[in-house]
Amino acid sequence: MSKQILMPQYGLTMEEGAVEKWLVKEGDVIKEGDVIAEIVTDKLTNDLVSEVSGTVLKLVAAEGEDILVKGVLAIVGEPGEAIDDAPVPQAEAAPAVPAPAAAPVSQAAPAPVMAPGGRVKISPFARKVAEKNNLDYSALTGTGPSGRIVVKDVEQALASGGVAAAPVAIPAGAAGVAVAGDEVVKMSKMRKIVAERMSASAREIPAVTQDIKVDVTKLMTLRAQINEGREVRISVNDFVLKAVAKAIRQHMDVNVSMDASGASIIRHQHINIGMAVSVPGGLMVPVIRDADKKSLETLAHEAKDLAVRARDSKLDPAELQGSTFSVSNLGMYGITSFTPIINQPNAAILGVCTAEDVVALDKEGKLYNKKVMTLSLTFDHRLLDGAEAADFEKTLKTLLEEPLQVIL
Amino acid sequence: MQKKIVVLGGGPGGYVAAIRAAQLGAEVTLIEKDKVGGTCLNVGCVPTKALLHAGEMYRQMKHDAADYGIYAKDLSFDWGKVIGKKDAVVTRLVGGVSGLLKKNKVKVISGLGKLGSGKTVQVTGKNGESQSVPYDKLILATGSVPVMPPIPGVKDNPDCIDSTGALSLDKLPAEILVIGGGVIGIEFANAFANFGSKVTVIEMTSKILPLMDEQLSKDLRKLLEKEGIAIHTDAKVLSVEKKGGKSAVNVEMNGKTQAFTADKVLVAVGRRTDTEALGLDAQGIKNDRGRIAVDEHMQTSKPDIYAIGDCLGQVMLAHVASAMGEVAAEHAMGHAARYDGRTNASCVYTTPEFAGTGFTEEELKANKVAYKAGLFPLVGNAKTLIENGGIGQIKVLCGEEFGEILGVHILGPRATDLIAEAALMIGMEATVDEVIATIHAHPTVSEAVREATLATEGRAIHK
Repeated sequence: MSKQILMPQYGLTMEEGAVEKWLVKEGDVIKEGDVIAEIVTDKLTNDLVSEVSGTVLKLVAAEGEDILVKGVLAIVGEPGEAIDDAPVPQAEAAPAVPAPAAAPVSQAAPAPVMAPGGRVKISPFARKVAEKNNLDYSALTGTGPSGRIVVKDVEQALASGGVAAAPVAIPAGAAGVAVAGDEVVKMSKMRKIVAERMSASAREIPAVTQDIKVDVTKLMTLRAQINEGREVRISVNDFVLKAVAKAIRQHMDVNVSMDASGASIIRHQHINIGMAVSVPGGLMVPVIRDADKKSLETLAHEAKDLAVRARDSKLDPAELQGSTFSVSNLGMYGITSFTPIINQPNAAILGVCTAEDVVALDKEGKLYNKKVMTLSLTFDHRLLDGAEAADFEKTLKTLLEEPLQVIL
Repeated sequence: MQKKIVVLGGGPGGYVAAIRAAQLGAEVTLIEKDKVGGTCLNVGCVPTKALLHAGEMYRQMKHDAADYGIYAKDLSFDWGKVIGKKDAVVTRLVGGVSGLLKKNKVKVISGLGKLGSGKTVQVTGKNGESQSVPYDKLILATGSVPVMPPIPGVKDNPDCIDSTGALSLDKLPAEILVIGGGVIGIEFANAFANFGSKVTVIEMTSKILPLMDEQLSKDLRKLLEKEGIAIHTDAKVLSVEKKGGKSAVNVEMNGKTQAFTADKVLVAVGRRTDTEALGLDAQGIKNDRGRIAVDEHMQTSKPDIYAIGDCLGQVMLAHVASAMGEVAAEHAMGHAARYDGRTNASCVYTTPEFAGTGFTEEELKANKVAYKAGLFPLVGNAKTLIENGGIGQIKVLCGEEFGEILGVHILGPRATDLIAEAALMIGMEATVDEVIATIHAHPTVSEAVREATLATEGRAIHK
């Protein structure tokens, strides 16, 4: 009898994924335990391990096609068998993993029907109707028993224009037109997510970027001294991360988020720094938790580990959540100034630019050489004002210009 | 300050409301003119089911046992003892309810209550003495009584009995004619037939059990007729005459008048509210000819007064009254509570049992709902085969697009117990997927519910 291979649930909040690449084709013989595809979900790539042995009869899911968790991906059986690719009805299996321990509170306030472990309470019928209509039901308030979302709630949401999860169509004029010779490539899942997040950030936040120049001559000297004889070298960015953490502790006003009601500000007590990492095809922001409590060495180690794993798509979903502030470093590319986009729900993001050689005059009128690095801070003007942001930048500048202060 | 809740009527609606209110911290007084347990425990649900059970035992021994290799020589029954056992069960349950009320510190006052001035109930005791019982919130649960239709000859004929009379006959009638093919009439017909009475059922409309699924009702009718019960639909009783020791019932059917003889004539044409003594209109409580109007919180037009159960004249079932009683008690005590009757089930305790919840197929058709039906004949169910040779059928109705469970109808052993799973399906807005994903033990009749659900997708295994 043929067996179906279903979309696994990698991570408690995963609802759908896509086959990025099939590693087998129809007709191949596979064994239980073989990795037969790469599944991408929310920017992360995971191996699809077959739980059955047999011949691949049909690859039901196309590469790039969004499939819900427990949707049919492939059929495996004996050659020549009749194929049943009707979706196997599955009960809403409760996750075997207990609720994530100490999930950072900094994320947007959870919807009222969120059961521990991140599941939304919704009746099976209501869920089906919502999914069919592409309705994001996680935002709905349920009127059923214990706040469960019932069909009536979904129907009402649909009637009043709902919270469609469907991507907004680009209006004519804003969309590009392909001509002969142009290649049209479907956006990868990663790209789609980056596009959605950046659009939302740009759309919702009145953002202001303020630059400040920092004399990093002493920083560079100290760094060179520290790295002498060290196998794992401390980077400029590691210093910046430590300085940022310290500066935030002195300016907790920048360590905030807007709450879900839009009427309150959440003042986060933990300083979790999101570190933007360029990965093939896009961008990821893994989080370093309690950065102010970690030594420069620990930060360096963690930052390197996160960056490597981000590029290899080996990050845990939890490592991408919970930031209270973000840092994006384009220094290695020679960028001298830029306008980083805020990583929601943070209130600000620090853009780090390259250190340039600058010639200046000292007090006696003699020429001397210094290294100057621009910091570009973008902040959310709903939550912060220019003066607060500037104060923070001043503290940061002071710390980085006397780098021993950063380490102490 | 404890809230004073007064409950008028101690049946399944009233006593449940009283206990719930006490659980929530109220000072509760229950006023009952006769015995606690009301119609249900004393002259309704419980005694009829006890009688049906005894009759079923006798019938099985008389007709089915030999097939299983079991023989009973000189099988007989003592009608007096049958009634006595029924009474003993009732007494025990009534005692149990009294015990529960006592445990929950509910004060029980014996007497007939009516609405007094201000927020009080005037209670007149058996010896005529009266007292005034004050309340913060009042829950009316006065129940219902059998309807006595204005058929000539019925009122003064002692052979004409209602359901209460049918439960305390001094001997089994040789011939009994039942007027009314609803649940009560059909159940009594089955009970008396089991003991060996010659039973005739006269029903005015075109079908028996009008609220149940029609296809399965027809199946049950055939089974009852096979047992020797004569059922005549589209038949109207014109009059009843006393003729010597028996009675003659004149029925208009098939275009002519036919006369039937019977030792007893059971009038089971329905029940009506019994609220005349209350004084509803004088108190400004909105009602439709005695049927009290309420909202989803069971509140009447006077917000401090609630009404539940049969006195609403709507769905007259004990479990509905109890569910309403809990809602009224909770709301009266300040909690958010709404009555939702979607999970209500109708049960017929014949052999085989018949139960249904949700919509019937006729209702879906009439409302032009796109649906799928899954039928599973119990001849394919091992447990039913063991118990009755495989008699019965299960029908599951679900939405065509999403498979949400719309109705479940069971004709077969233990239908009245199995229907609870179906009620849960409907209440939880489950679809066929959830039922199919649930493992049902084997061998049981319940697995046939799953098979009927599989049948909606054309994939029943045992059909």
